[in-house]
Amino acid sequence: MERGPGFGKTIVVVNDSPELLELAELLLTDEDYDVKVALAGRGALDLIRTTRPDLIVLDIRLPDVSGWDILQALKLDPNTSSIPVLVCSAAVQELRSLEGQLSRMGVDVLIKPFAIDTLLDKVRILIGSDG
Amino acid sequence: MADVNQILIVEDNDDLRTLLRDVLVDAGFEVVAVANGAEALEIVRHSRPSAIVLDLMMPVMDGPSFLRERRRTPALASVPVLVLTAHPFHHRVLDGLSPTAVLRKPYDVDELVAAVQALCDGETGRGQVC
Repeated sequence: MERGPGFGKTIVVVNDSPELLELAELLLTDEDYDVKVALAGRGALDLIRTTRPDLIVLDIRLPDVSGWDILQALKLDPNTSSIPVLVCSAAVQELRSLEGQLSRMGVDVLIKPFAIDTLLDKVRILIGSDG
Repeated sequence: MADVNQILIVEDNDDLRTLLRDVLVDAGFEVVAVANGAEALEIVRHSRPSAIVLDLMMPVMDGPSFLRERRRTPALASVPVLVLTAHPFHHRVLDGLSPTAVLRKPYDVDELVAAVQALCDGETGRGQVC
């Protein structure tokens, strides 16, 4: 049986929507990624530290902790600073104003609402499994 | 031996507070870290740090309230303050509060250390000056 592009790669998805987490898990697992999910900000950092994923898909608007604070903690921690991050948000202006800054730090953005193919393409590129 | 610069970190997020402290200690600063503006005021009653690294959104006493108190306190008014914020409209929030510099999240370790060092050196050219 042919292996998908995600074989051997782990992704942590942080989002406060159970429906979106379920969908992301379904889509990414179908591509053979090993997917771990965090339903809120608290606990996400611990999950990332223990999992050491190849990619983090992080929603910025979370009810308990700011996604920016999670991203900031990831970038200050030498154990996680080099993990690529895909930031998801509907705040187009906010994301655009940070585009250069984020790109320099190895962070890509996914503006909501997004097409499934856009998510999968960005994941493949960031995780280095597009070839 | 040169004096070590003492930095007061004011950040309510436990993870960030610990990481900020570790980064600045590794960079050679002496660091005291507290969780809100009220605790920071208590610290500066007894000692005068070289610079303050301040989060904006905090419980008990947030960043803007601390900056207002700083302006009313002569001993504190001259201590440079670096505000760390993800707020896209921080200029509006900080209007009239005169922090020495602003660093917008997300920033990397080098940017943070350079901005703090610049404050200690009496420069305001690094980070985004208000």
